[in-house]
Amino acid sequence: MTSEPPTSQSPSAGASANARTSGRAGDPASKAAAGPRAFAPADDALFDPVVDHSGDARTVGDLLVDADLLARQLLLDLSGRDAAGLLRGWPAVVEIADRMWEALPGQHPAVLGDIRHMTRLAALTGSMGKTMATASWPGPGPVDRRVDEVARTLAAATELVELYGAEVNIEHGAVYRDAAAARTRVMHCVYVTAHAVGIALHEHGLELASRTAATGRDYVSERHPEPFPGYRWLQRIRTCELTAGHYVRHGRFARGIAGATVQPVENLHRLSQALVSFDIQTHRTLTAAATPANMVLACRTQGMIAGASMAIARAADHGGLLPSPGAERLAAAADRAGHAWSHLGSRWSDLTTAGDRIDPKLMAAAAAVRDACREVTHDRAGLASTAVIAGRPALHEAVPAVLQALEAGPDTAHVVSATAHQPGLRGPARPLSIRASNDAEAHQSRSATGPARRRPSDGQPADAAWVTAADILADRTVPLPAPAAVELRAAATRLLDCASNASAVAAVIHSDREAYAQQPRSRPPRDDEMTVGIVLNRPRGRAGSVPRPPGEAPMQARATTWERTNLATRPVK
Amino acid sequence: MMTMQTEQTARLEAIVQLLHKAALQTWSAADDTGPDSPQSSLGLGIYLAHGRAAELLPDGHRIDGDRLAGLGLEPAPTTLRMLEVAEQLTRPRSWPATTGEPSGHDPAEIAVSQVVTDLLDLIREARALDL
Repeated sequence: MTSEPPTSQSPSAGASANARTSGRAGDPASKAAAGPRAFAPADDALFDPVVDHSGDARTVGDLLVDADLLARQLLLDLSGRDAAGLLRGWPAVVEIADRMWEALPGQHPAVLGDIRHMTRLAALTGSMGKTMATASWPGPGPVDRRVDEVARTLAAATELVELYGAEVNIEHGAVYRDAAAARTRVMHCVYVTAHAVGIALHEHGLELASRTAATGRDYVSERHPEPFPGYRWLQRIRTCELTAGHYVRHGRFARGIAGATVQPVENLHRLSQALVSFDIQTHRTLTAAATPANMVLACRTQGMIAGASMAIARAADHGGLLPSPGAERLAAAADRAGHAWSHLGSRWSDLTTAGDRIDPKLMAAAAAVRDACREVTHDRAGLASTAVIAGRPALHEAVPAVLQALEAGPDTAHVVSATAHQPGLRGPARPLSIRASNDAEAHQSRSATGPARRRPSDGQPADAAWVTAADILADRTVPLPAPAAVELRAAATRLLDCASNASAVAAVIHSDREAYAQQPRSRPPRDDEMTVGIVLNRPRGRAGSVPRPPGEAPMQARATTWERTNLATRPVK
Repeated sequence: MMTMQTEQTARLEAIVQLLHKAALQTWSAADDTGPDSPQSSLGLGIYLAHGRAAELLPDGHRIDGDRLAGLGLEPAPTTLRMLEVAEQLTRPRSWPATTGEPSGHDPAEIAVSQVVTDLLDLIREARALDL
């Protein structure tokens, strides 16, 4: 586009302007004056006197498809810098979508419930527009060109429907379905746009929070009670997204996740709530349906939680929320647990096929954990730097949340482990054949270098066919071959060890951290609070119960090393 | 002739297979790096999108055979490429007028809205990670 961007003074100005140029012209004389004619004056009667045939030749269907693609492009390339322009353009999109819905034929009483979605959306956005006119942010300024283009395209479709909608015979079944599809496509477009505006606002908030944290100031104050500028806008746009989402996410999945995808964002307790909900849901799901697909999701989510715990531990160390020995030990234990969860998840995934169903409630819980973890540990380019994570307000709540999650890890590990030991596990022939061959080969090479241990695969050559070629060709489901079954159980056992270790480390740090938090904050922490208190002051029995992995330095030696460092830097009393 | 319904189901099957493959591939790369790898989180996101797409298949539906043939994928496509192809498969298509449908739109097609936003978010994430 080369035209000047529309401004927020008139949110629908762009859409209306488009309607004048590409859809309805009204006055043939003015059309003639606007440009060269594409036909002779004598042929006027052959053409509709209202529609400008030399302009946009797209049908309503084409325009709706284009609006969909434009909204997708918008979502693909976003940053916090786009937030103000997108927000300014949002009311025009909903305004024109509402007009389109009104114009579409076939508003049968049976679909009045659906119509209420758009009415509510229009009301929500209308009040946003009023607030926007007087709010200090985003204030007057240009509308984002892309969101304006979405509104323009929808406006062009609306003009056509308003012209010809009355002529459509809605009694015809296929036509009725087509009108319903058009209505849904408009809502889909609104939904994708709302999602994009929400993401830009969120990015905007994160960028501002990072910038404020870098100056050492706290943005939240009596004057600014919200976490960042635009926070209230984000809440309102999320409500709009939820309203549109209720309409477009019909079907089984929508019922399964009812209310789950719109978690309160920027809630400092979000991670804690998500982790607790996931823990509960994992037990419920795996008790009811311990299918390989559910096991994969449970294991991989636990692996991601362990990874987030590592980043949070390092940031807590950086920000002084956890002393170094405790943070390092926690990160190391979480690393081992994360590897064990991921390894077991990888083995369970051999037993899945692409079409396997996953429990929608477990998916919703895992998605909430993923979003909440990313809120604390990620930025646009992936994992945020330790300094950035340390500056985030949510870190204070994230530390006890991940400690609790790691403490609860062994419970889930037991459930997962028990399933791995069950007989009758089956999976697709091809991946199981590859896995079994690799496991048998690895076992043979280990046997050649280490002490001989009898395995179920003993006596079989490494290149034995564990799955028949016929099963592979026919893509059949086969019983889990012996070498893969042995390694699955071994992975489950390793997971139990690692999860127990991480749990014990987290428990020690958690209780010491709580004791430390109860100390008055009017003086700098003493060395015995900040250093030795984390690990060395634990009763020997409790600390001694933590299994120490081979090769790791004894606890006493690590703490002493840190203590020496701390003595060199401690404040003069 | 393939009907609109079967064509949509075939596209959905391809999306499901693509996302399943992309999730496992991403996790495999993450396992080499460590649990705090950004790919670990991305893999989880892809697996969740796969689960959501699979939910849209009819009850008891089994995907037979490889639906990825004919998609123009390279022998070893990157995660980003698979996500992009999956997103392209969710795009609305004009349906030939010979089917009798007025403009090739079916309300059932729109049920993929959540999958669409998932895919676009994941593509943005994968691009940021330069995968």
